[in-house]
Amino acid sequence: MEQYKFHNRIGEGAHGVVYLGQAVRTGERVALKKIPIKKLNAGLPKELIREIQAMRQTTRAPEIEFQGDHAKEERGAQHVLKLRDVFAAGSAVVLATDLMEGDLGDIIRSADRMRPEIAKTYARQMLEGVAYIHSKNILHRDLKPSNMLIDKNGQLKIGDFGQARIYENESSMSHKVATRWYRAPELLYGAHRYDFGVDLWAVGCIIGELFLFSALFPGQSDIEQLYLVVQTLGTPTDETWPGRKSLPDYAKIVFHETKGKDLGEILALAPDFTADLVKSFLVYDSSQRLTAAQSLSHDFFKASPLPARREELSPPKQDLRKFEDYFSNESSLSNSLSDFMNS
Amino acid sequence: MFHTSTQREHWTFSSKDDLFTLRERVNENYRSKMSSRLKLGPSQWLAPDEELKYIKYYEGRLQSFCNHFKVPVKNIFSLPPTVKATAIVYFKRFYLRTSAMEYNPRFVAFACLWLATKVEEFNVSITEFVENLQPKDQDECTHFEDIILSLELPIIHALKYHLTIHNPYRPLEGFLIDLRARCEGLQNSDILRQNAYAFLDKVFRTDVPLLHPPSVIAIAACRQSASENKVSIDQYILGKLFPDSKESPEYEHFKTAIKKIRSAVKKSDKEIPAPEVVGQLKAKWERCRNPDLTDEKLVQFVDDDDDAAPVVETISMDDLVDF
Repeated sequence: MEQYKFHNRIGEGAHGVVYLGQAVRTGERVALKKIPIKKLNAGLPKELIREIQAMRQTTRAPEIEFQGDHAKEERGAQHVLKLRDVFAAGSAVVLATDLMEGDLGDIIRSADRMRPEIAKTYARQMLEGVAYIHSKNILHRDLKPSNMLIDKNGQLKIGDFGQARIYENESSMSHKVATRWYRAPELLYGAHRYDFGVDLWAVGCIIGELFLFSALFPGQSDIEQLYLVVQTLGTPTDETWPGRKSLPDYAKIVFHETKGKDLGEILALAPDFTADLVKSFLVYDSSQRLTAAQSLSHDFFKASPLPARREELSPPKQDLRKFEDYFSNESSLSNSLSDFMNS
Repeated sequence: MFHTSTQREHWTFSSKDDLFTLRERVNENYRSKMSSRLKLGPSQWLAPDEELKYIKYYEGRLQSFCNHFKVPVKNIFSLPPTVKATAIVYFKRFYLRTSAMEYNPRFVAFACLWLATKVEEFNVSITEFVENLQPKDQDECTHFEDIILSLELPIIHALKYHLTIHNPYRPLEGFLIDLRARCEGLQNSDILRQNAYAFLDKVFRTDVPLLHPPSVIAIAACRQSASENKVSIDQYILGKLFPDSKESPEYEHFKTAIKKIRSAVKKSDKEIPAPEVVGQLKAKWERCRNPDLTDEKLVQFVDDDDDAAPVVETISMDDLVDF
């Protein structure tokens, strides 16, 4: 295992504190997420276990070179946050990952709107990442703009695997996953058995948001969330959603009949085929959603404006960065280690 | 997914000799670390073979603990085989890297199962879990909870944070389906399940899960069960799994593996030592165990917010890994 130096605290999540770190041997900067293990939480948190399991599965050994058919898959691996190491420090477990500087949520919300070419490139990087994750049989279950992390070269990597699960056909899973605005209708209706479709729904919402600059379905409650989805997609029918009646909460909520709206109108200002692509993810019947791998050859990516080249992506703007560049200021390093020890 | 897994890369050893080497190394490492403190004569330490017997005893207890595990309030009266398999593999892997003279194997066994319930998403609370240890009162219940929780970190550390275990149950179900469709005379392949499960139960008493991929173990179980049910699946294996390679090195390798698995399972009853042997080993163990890691000391760390139970240095096994 690599040795790491802990520097400043750069963020705080639900389960731990994130520090800026540095690999002693290579000098490379990393993020060190320190998750304390407390008896109160019955020891090792489940989120940590899921995160480790999922990221072990998606982080491939660097020495393996893929060729031919696997080359595509490898491109996807670049767009998934890499777990470099896991180790114990005191009563905590530390995850060392790539260091990321910003996220897509900040970019979408920022004042200067990104060009459609750039949005397309982010959409493609996200889909390559999702295709890779799914090829490893993992459900992310919490895809949303703020989990699309951006590195110092402006490249997108999917992060936060705290809700991820290895997909198993027959097993029952919690429907209390994903962040509301990106939660698939089957989850809103309480499904315990679902599949990769929940991620594909979220992907559709995110691509819409990339061109709309605001969320497609910004529900304030689970009921409103469903309402917004139904208002747009129309009331589900036997044809559009055959399995709906067997969902636990389906009969509990009834909305007025509606035909829905045309996503084409909502996304009228987006480039050609955007609405078409989004529509193929946002369908009620999970089995009919376009897969991430299929979506990569969608006309959306072939039509003008073409996606920007990866070199054209720029690092997150200074004011969107997760932290300042501590390395330019060596004096701040000395007290950071004690900060870590005391935290 | 096995072929790209950490299980294949880090935890599938090429021979029993490798396991033997590791266990010697673990033993040697502990002695040299503790010799200045414990001042014991050469025969007072647990020797590698004694250590193994001592661990095997607790591994056997873990198996029967799993078989009797229940949570009546949740209507749980048996553990899924995958949870049990994961727990036992954790236990086996842990003692390839850590001496039995460090942490108390009795609680390491329970803590491995506790971890397995989390990893396999089999939801029980620590209190429900500990009920199965039949604590005599609330204090003892808390004591058990504390010891188990204090062992989580040392265990996952020794496991190199490789938490996903590929077990033979999933491939076994796959083969049963495939046999139904593609093996003449086995339209009712479900009849093979019971004896195949019994075979796998024995597999987990042996080193087989450290030496062979889960799918090969699953076929060995199918084949054994078939012969006990007076049918043969050899035509299927040859015709469907190795269609054009009767002479190929892969097939030879496969045949040897099946043979080794079968002979290990035949001897599996002898893996668990007799009670009188265990009594002697335990007396010896009490004297040579790590005095910093007694149950009482581990529990202290749980109440202390800043400090955790010490994670002992594990031995390196990089040179023994094939891939």
